[in-house]
Amino acid sequence: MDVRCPRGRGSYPYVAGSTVGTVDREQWRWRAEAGQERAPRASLHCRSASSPYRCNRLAHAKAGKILTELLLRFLIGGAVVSFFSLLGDVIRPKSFAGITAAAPTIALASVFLTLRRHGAVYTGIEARSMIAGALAFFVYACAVSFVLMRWRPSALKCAAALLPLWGAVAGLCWAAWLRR
Amino acid sequence: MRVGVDLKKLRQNKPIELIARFAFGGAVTVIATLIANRYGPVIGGLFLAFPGIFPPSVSLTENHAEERKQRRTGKSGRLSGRAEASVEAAGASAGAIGLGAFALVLWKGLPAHGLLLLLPLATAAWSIVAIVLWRIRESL
Repeated sequence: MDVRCPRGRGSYPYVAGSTVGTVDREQWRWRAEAGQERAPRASLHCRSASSPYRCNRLAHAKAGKILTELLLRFLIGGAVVSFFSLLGDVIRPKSFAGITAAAPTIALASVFLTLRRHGAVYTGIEARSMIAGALAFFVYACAVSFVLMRWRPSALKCAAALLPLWGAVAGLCWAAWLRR
Repeated sequence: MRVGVDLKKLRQNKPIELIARFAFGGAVTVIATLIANRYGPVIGGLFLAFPGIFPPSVSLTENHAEERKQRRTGKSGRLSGRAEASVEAAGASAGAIGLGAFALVLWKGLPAHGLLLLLPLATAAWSIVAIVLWRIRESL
């Protein structure tokens, strides 16, 4: 049985000393017998000075950081997408405005944060894969345009139904080029 | 064909549509990040070019065109709305090639150059390639 931190969103295990990992009942019993540790009390919070077991504060901090980053990405992504979407609304003719539907919105929204968190090499690898994603987008957009013009189905249904085509082309590119 | 800007079209947007676009864009960005975190940059990078906002975008175009036609002529504008959505999708195909150019600049530029230089260059590459392809397509 794991000994969970009572305030740590219920998922972070106690960590004995500086050892990172889950402390189970058998482990602390063995340690208690060997005189290495005292048995933890379940009601004791990890931050309590008297607790022999400390919560993995690193995990708490990391989870908070990730959530903040995701929130930031959500806000930036929403703003960038809205900007290009409104730009597409006001530009005419519509064929020209369509260019903004394939704007690098997700990349623009996330590339700075990705570079800061993972470094330039990681961002470069993502950019290389993005070329394959863009090729898949090209095939997908051509297919949507053709089907809409030829059979005139609902635009949303057509665009949503053809999304697996993007996945298929991207998957082919991954298998043929990126996986190596 | 002359390219221009028609700011009156901004009035067609309902507040709920603006909120939906913002939420959808944010959600797609977060999902792409989560995929990259889970499966690594090779798979994650593919999703940087995921057409996440494309389906709602063509759908809005269809609806707006349909409403416009109905207001002007009193007839159903369903088919012309779908034709307009098709034209937008054709434009998006040019934008997608531009997206590839954007990624190429980033891929070749990193890690030798900084993002402050590369990002404007990549955005310029996207717009130039997309505009040139659009012009070629229009002239055909």
